[in-house]
Amino acid sequence: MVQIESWIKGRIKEDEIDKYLEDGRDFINDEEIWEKINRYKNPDKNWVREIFDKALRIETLTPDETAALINIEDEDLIEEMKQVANKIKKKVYDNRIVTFAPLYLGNYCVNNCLYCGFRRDNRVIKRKVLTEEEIVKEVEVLAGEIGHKRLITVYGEHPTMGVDYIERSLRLIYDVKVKVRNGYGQIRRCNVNAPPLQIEELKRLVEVGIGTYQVFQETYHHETYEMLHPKDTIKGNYRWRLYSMHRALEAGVDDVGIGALFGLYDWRFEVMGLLYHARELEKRFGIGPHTVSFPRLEPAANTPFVQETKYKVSDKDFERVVLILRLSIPYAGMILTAREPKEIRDRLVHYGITQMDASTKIGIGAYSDRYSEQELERQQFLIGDTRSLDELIRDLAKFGYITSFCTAGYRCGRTGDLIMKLLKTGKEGQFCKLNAVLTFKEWLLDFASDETRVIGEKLIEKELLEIKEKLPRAYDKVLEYLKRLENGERDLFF
Amino acid sequence: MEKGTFSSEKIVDFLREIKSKYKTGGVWISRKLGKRWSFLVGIEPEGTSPPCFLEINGDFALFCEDGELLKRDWDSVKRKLQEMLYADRT
Repeated sequence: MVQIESWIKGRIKEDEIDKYLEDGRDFINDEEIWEKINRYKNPDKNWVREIFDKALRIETLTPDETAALINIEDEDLIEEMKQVANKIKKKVYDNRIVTFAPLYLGNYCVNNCLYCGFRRDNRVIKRKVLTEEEIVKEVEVLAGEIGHKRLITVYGEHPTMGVDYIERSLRLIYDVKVKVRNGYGQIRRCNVNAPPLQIEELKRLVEVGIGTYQVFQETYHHETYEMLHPKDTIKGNYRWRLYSMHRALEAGVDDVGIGALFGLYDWRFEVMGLLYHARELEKRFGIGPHTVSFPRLEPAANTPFVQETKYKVSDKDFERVVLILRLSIPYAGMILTAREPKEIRDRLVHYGITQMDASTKIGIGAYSDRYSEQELERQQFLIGDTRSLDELIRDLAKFGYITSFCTAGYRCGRTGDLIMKLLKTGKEGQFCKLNAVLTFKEWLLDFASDETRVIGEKLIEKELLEIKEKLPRAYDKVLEYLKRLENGERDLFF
Repeated sequence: MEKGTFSSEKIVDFLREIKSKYKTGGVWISRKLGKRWSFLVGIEPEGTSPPCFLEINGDFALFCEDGELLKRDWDSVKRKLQEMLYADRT
């Protein structure tokens, strides 16, 4: 107990907050945000269309412009916005959807957030932290049976999952290599969702090869944040969390991911908060968020707050959240997780989503112990879309999307400011297309069911025709690489 | 070595020379982090060729779009890059 208390006391470094403040203030000004949201009721149609054009040029919107989009009520304009969102996504990332899986490594937590099933005082939760052996077993299933190449590892804020544990787990995950049907399975990119870390700790994770580092602010609204996160906890410090991405970029992390938990406060404010966060990172570091996440609050064991919140986001408003974020931060990847039910994911995938998870299990150790039932005592919330990766791939193919397992940026260092430049100029989309075809082929060879393989091969044929027409210089090389993949080579990329 | 601990302008100038002399297209230097690579400095790719990998040492590599001509002079270019990365810190 004493050990935990002293660990907690050493977590927050005030100097790693203060250095980023401007005149003692952080970059979220609650009054200013509400003033903007309220100022642009019924925005002029011509102005809105100018905003659409700006987003199509892959330029980050201003807070005034995002506030205008938030206030669109005209159904025709909303329909136009859907088309714009789709075009932006196609321009920046082409027609591919990247897949990944979450891997929860433990559910111990020293914090006591009112809305979270894993909060310290919630006695109904069965607590566990994966051992090294268990981590390897989980990854063997994810990489060797399902065929994932990307993970997002999730850690609680607790001394049992401090930076030593995170570092060790990343090394273990990257070391797993499993022989599969025609080649081998491995995790090539391990993104991390962890509590706010110190700069020196982040430098250690950089050396191990951390992927995107995610810390969600939960809510950007100061007063609500204070109410939901008890002051005597680490998470009770709004600014320690708010500047996590600053510390990460200063430490040399290439890619950072921001997010808000929708349902804690007014969705319009949170969308503005995410935009302010992105603009702040661009201003300070020249690099905006690699991804934006927008999970909706889900029921959790023994957590009445979830039922009581007055800020629950309806499906209709959630659709607007996705559209407005797509336009506001047009270069960023947008993650729609399996928290959402299939019907919602099938609809929103057309509005600019770039990443989805599948075959998702969020119980601790649930992949390797073949645990198929969802049990609230074991997981943070219930997932809404239980489709397997094989099923999701088939469904995406029906919509004309190719599933990508691309990690090419990490194979050659097309990361950080370089990828940001390529995303903003639309050049990265070409790499996305080519690498989607190659990695999809690899997955079909190694993991697909017969039914999915047939659908997948047809999709590749269609993609090849497009490559021949639009990227003729790359066409022959793609054909050569596909042949080499069939002959057992792996990890080929542009 | 961390980003910004060397004279990146000098290296970019040298990479521009490489690009022009050896027709490499995009050319950039990446740093090895565990089993992956991270962008350090360089000129963005122009087209869609697979990146050619040329190892500078255990920590750094040069990637470019077309490395055939550069490979012939790689030993001397590599020496110069090593000097710049390690000796020319500002």
